Amino acid sequence: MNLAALPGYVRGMHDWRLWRYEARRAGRHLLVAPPVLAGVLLATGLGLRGAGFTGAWLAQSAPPLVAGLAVAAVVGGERAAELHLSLPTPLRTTLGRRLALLGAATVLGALILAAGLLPDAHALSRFAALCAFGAMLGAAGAWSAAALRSTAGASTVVLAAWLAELFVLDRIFAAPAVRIVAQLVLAALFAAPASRLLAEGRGLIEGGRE
Amino acid sequence: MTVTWCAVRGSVRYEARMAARDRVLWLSLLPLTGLAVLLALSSPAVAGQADAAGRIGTTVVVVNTFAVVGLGVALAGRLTQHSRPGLTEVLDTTPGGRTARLAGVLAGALAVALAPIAVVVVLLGVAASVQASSVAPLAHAVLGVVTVLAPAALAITTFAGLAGLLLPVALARVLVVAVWFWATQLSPSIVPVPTPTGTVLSPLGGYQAVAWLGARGVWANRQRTGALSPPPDSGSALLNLVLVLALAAVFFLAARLVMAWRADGHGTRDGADR
Repeated sequence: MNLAALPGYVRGMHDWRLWRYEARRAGRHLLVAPPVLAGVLLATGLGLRGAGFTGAWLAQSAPPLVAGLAVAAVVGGERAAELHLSLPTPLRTTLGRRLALLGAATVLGALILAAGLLPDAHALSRFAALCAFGAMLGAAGAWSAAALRSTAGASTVVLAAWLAELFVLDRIFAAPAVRIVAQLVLAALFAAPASRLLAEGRGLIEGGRE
Repeated sequence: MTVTWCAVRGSVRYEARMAARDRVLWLSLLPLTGLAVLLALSSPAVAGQADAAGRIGTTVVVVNTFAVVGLGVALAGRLTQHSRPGLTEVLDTTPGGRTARLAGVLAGALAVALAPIAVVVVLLGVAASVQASSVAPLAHAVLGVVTVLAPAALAITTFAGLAGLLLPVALARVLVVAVWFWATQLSPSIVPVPTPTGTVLSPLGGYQAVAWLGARGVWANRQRTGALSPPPDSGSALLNLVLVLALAAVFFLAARLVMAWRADGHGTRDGADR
């Protein structure tokens, strides 16, 4: 589907300008949201040690939801899919760059929130839990956005996955380490078909839905 | 028949037909509906009630908590789509007014999105009626859809539409989820901020569920006292219903004003509005 780069083809952008461009295409508000949310949770005391059950619950569950909805918006929101499919750079690579930026923003948010628990050893487990839960919802968002070709539909699926994790899977996998492994396995199970759908690319053309 | 009424009816039918054909809207709500039913059926609050009709009443509250928020998330971008530069001007040349069109867009999509949730609740009512050999559970299920799920869905959808106009849509969805749980489940005993939970302003529909559907009293005022948390009875349930519908009307009118302001050329954003 993608055109091969001809011998005379010169890649116009291959440095930091490319990443700045992809950051703009991903939506700067989405990249800023995770660290800002983490900062707000710390500033209000909800993300700190001794914040009680509600604070710990919010700090643990809100950032992954933001990550999942952001991935759904990025994967489902590319309006010029046809154009991308005619370029030498595969659409999957382009979306992968945007998702890498989102991932970096999510990890930064998790680091800020984990710092709120320092010097307690729980900081590390909070960081790992946030990353694993975020990866699972992100992968669910990417798969559903690619399969449904709709950001709105994918966001609803992410919400269902978020609630299922909090109210069903958390009870089944009560031990934190087991839960993290289960989330990473689920993330891989969602990511594999998502990657395949994005590599095919053709299915995205009918897009244009919200 | 006036032009406005024709425009409302026409856009509701058009939007509903398009949303039903598109399938994404109601398909994407199925996992959430299934989860809500699973949580309702496994909930000790539901199973703990001896009376079959009361169990359906509590089920309606649980389904409302978990599934209706999905309507807000799914429909947050609807109004943004309809205020794209250029589209408003074209539609303004038709005889139907903007308010009529906007109402049609939201109501048509909402009808399709709410359908799977309503069908599942009514089916649960049928199953409970057959099991208990009584018509009361089915009547409670239908009454629950009309007095609890539909008003809550209207309130959250209009709020989501407004938020989607004022914020990037992805952030509006996060806000919708946060506001929903703040307004329905997080009482001040859980979070250190004032909340509508346990008052007649909450879209949870607890007052209706307690007064009319036989749910336990705790769902209505959540052990809160004060002018906004009266004891549950038919009067306070009606007040809750009217206030939630009034909130939906306020959100709708605010969205209408924002769209009118945008259509006049203020604050239009082109391109990346997700």
